[in-house]
Amino acid sequence: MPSPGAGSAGQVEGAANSGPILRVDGVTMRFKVAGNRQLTAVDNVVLEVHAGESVALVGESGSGKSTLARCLVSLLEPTAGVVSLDGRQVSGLRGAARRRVYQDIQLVFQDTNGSLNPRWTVRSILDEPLRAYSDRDPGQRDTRVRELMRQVELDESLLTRRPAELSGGQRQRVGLARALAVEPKVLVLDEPTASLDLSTRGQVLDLIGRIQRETGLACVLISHDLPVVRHIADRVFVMYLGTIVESGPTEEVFRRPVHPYTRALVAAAPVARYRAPRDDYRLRGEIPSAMDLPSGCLLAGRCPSAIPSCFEVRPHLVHIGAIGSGRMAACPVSAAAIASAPVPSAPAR
Amino acid sequence: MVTPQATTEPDPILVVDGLTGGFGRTGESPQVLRDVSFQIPRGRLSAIVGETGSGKSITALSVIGLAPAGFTRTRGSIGFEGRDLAGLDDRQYQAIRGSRIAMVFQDARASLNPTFSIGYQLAATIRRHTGVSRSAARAAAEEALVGVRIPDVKRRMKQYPHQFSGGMAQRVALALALSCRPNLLLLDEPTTGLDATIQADVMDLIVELSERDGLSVCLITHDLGVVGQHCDHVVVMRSGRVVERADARDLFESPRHPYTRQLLAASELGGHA
Repeated sequence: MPSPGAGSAGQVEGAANSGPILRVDGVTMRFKVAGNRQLTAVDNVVLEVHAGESVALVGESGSGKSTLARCLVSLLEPTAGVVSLDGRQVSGLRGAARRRVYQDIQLVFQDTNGSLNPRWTVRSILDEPLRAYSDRDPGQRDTRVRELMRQVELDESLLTRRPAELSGGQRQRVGLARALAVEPKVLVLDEPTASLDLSTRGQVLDLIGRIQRETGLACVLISHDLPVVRHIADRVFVMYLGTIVESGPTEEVFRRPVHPYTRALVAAAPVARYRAPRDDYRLRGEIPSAMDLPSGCLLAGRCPSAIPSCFEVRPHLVHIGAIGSGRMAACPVSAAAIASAPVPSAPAR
Repeated sequence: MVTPQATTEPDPILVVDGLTGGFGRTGESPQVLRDVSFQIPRGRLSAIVGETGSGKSITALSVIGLAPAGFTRTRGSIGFEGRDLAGLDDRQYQAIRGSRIAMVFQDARASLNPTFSIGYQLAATIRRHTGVSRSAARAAAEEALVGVRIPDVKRRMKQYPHQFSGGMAQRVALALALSCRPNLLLLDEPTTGLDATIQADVMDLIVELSERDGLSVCLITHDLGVVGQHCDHVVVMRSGRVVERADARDLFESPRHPYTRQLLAASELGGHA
């Protein structure tokens, strides 16, 4: 059981500076859309990840989590803001400098069918990053490929197979091994278990946890699967329409959500028990388009707790000291309710 | 609420008995269904639960007579409204499929034709099954969309599938399936691919429709959360076999088969009770 916040620091020996390994400072990503309009996919996101720590980004589809992930690994250049790795600014780099960054942060893609070359064998898939990013000779690369297979608990006999000849779980392990090949410091996992069966899901998550303990890797998990987030992440960031609306230690956020959006997400997550008692807190309608956003709180139109002022002013993320350290939320209405009286926590699950 | 015993349902809507079959000419290489037997209670929600390769989808497809080409049934019967569906030919099946038993497929948008408006597709289906006039079919289509809580129906009727979100497309697929008033509705992974917030809305709608019309619903799913929340009866399948059949309460509170216990543990990921 990861102890939120505390377990993160001590795991990596000799981390040169005690600062965060990954820093995201005011990252904004806008896309131009037909008709000279703009779509704001990620809006002024601030977050830090420390070595050995796991954080999760959660939210509905359309909340901007995957776009943010792509900004983190430099697959997208943010419109504004800065991503720094180990104290070095990553955004805006070109050429060799940028290639060095790729070695420190790697992405495991959601869709293994689309991200593994179907015509390559597992061996070629794992060998490619080694050829591109290291000066190992073929023998050393072969040793490393076998090491990677052991690390993700795949049998070496699968090295000659192609992706189509593997199961979903095996393909996800190959994707993981490829990301680990260059020994990154940060791993970004985009819905790593979305396409897996239940029993396989648990195995892949345990594997990720083990590798993290062994290597001191920091993980950024993108997921809408709350049990998965609870299983892996020390801290959680809840995103809605490109902004972070709540953050804090995972267990505390899920047990006692502050922001109405978080509360609705937790309430909607099905629990595998017979008629588990549930919180009937529901949002109205569906996530709106990220174009032409309203000026007030982005959730106001769907929020059961909204009051008239919510439609006028966009709330900022502020510390909610009343319920523990490290908790932040962007909802003055809920924050005021907590300050004035202890809020009943969401039903224990 | 009384929870009737599962094993001896007095008046089941569907009785699958000894269903066995597979691919290849003999239906044995490989065999994918092995002596599958279960009953679906009338007027309530049930679920067939299993992982990839469990045979749950092919069982459901066999029930509506859409088992893939190459699949051969070697044994077993599918009892529905006093007949054995397993012996029916394609034409006989057409009188049942859609009107008596309907199915909503996993990816709702993929089961809608992208080149026709929603209103046209619904009306055409209704006409095909009931033979009513164009205007009557249109009216019935509008009513069907209102029935699944789609707002602004007049405008939505003219729109195309790509203009519908995942949750809305799922509602349209439901409307399409319910438009001919079937008695049994099969839902293949009705909530997979939808956000949890939307899932909850879709499931509430399904429960409401079932209660209002006395519709019997069978979910084909791996999501034990949805099953625990809404279903009364559960059939657990693995590798082409039924490993456990039980009332939902018994299944969740005292699962008998080790595989069921394993699935429950995997859903909770070690549990956060």
